[in-house]
Amino acid sequence: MSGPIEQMGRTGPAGPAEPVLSVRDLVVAFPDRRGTGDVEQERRARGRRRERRVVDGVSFQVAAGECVAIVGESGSGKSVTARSIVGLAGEGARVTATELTVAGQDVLSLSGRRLRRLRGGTVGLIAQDALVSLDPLRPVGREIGDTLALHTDLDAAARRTRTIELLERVGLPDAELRAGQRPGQLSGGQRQRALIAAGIAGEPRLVVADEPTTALDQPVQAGVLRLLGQLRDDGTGVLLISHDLSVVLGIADRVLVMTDGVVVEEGTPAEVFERPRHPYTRKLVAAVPAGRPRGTPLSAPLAEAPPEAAVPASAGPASAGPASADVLIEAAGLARTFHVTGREIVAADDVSFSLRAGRTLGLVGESGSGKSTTARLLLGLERPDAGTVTLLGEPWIPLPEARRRPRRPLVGAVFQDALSSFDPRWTVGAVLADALTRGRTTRPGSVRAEIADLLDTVGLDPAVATRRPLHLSGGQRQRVSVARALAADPRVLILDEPVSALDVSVQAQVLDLLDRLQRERNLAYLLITHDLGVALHMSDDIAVMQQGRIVASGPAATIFDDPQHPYVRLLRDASPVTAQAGQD
Amino acid sequence: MPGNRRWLLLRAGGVVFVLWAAATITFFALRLVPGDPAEAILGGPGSQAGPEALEQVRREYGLDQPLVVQYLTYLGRLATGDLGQSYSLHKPVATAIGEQFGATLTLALCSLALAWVLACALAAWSVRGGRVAWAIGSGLELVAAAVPHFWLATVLILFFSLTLGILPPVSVPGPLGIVLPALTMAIPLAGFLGQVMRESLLTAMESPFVTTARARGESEVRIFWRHTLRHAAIPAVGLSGWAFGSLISGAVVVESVFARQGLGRSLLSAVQLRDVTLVTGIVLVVALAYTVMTLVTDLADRAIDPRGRAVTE
Repeated sequence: MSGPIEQMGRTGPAGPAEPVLSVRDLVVAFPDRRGTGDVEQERRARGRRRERRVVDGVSFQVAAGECVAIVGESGSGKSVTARSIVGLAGEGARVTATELTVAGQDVLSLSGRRLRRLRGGTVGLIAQDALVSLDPLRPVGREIGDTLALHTDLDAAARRTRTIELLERVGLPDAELRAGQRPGQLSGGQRQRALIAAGIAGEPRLVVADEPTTALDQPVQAGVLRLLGQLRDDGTGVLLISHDLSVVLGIADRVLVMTDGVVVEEGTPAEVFERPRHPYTRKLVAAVPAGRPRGTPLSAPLAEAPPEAAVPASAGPASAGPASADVLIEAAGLARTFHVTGREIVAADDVSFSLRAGRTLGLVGESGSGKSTTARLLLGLERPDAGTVTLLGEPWIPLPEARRRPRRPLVGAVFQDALSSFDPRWTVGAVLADALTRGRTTRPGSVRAEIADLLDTVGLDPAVATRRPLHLSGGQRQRVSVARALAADPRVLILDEPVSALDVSVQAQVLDLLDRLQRERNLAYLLITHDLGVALHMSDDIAVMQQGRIVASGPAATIFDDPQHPYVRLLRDASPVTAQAGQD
Repeated sequence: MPGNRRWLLLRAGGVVFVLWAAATITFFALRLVPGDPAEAILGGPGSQAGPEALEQVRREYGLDQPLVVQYLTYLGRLATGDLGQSYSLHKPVATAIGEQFGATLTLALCSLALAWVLACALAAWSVRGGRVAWAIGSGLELVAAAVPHFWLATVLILFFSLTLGILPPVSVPGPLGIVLPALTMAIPLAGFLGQVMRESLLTAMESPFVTTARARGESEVRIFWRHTLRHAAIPAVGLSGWAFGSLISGAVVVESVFARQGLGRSLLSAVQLRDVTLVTGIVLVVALAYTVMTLVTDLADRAIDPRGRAVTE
């Protein structure tokens, strides 16, 4: 896999400025065997051992005041590319390049002290998920102070002052208080800002941001991206790494699309999104659910989009017939408050909605808004303080569990983290057999045909039954959890962030699968997601939650057209999807 | 912080409970041992004491009272800090323990410190040194943790005292005398601590925050001292409370082998002489030291890992 880049032709550096980062023919290879950790030994042994090229001939430049984005899915080599710039490609990595210079310094020939001066001083690296990327045991201010101690001559008092200034600069209110707090005491957006402050403390000329907004809610994500935009405007070169095309849309000057270690497409965001040339880019752009009408398959490339084989072409939009609109679940006035160390957290407050056969209700809102609590209340996993749920016209909640249990098969659930929802020692077949027999012990093999059927329904090979969840890919795992949810032949599926942990092309496949199953089986969905794009693509109706309350609800097609509630407006403007849709 | 004060009060209550339980168990356990305590006081069955002498001793020590009365009298004395009179040493138990306690405490603390240094060094080396070092490190830890004190003491004496002749085979006053006894107890403990530390050190070194630290230009040495060691120390600190208790019991063997004075040796001779009050006194003091040490490690744990109980949900 090499070569396509030559055919693509380069757009050339956008800015007139001298490049801060210049990469030519970067190759990063790892030994196929697990490394011993001894880099010298690895180096001597190379050639005799098989290698895996994770990055294979990547070239690009980043100028001062320019933002270049590398977009790709997991395993594309984008993160390794980013880390190679500071000599942190990983243990046992063999890094070669015709040119790899940062601000005129040849990174590959640097060693020891000079490389450490480059890190943090000339290049600031901002990683994903500040909860683990900052030492969880130390106050965030100390981490910033450490960077200052390494790269400036400031004394302790001046470092403290500067730390506060930096935290204020990245938009953290109460900077003095926050500096003394640990990552675990800050919200997701706050600690990501603190991580950025630590990254820019050494006044680097290049900032490498590796998935800086992943796991953040969209309004928070928008704030972090604005901050990176400011850095760029102040003359810093920004290299942004992301799996999410929509994230780089508003900020990047140029976009590189990577897959299998190769850059397959390069251009301005407009060029890449509106006129994707390479098949992979087309597939990637097509997979973005945002702005795609309900029922459009996402997992086929835009140009030659054939209707998905399994979908009868005559099925039409699921929201069509009134025959499919009977109410299966009716939730009324659900309320739940948690008491945590003296504080009251309202997770659900007068939550009411109904789920209809063949239709999807999308429940959106930031983390902590009560979406998952609502799902747990609906599933009877959490006891509500008040409110009722009726299932097919009969009481469902509140009800003693023993009386609810016979009807449990009617309601299935799919959760975000498929892996942790399986017993790791069970094979896929055992997981499905358990769901099919509802936990009764049966003769092994008695449900083998049903298991094969289920796997076939979710598009998996029957041979998967003998494997363990740990050895499946993320997409396969989520298909298995869908199969498990279907095993008892439910009428309603509760989908709690079912695609949040997946790459965008895999996400597209799983969303298509869910869409097809809904048509085939006339299922009612409650789709919980923080991603407005996913919600808009999948839902007939949308409810927006904030602090445990549903603050707005209505048809997916119109809810964001003229939002009255300020939070819904904020949500719309923060999401690249709806903000753009609003302009159309 | 009200949360902290409540926690401390609860823990202090726990200490009192443990002491009471230790006192009660020793009291009844020693009464269950066959033989006449009065006879033992007069020098064991071989002393051929007359019935009058036995009767006098029983009255003197309250042994003629019902068991419940003896127990309550005993608890009442303990509450006022009176540990009673040692009949083998002919002096108050508190005094006898006071004379010995310092030596054992010094030995235990030296061993604990030495074990930590050994464990840290071994863990740091074996984690950073690649696959071979990892195998050697875990092998050494396993062997060290499995070695019994009396055997190790003998080997160390043979090597350092008889072959090299650089350290005294029996404990002499001064810092040189404590080296071999402390080493004897530290090596097995270092094996335990090292096993725990190596795993958590590896986990910490693979954490994303270490990448962040490297990316800001920290050297590996500073990353070890500022970040990973602290994470690795969390489980080992928790283990140290238990380790301290095991060191005191290890002192029984080690003090005897090296002819070193201390609580362990006093305990051994007190048991042999059926000196009930002295045994009880030593057990209580050890229990107190053990619970205090556990409290200290818990406090240290909260200082190292402030996330502790602040976690919600």
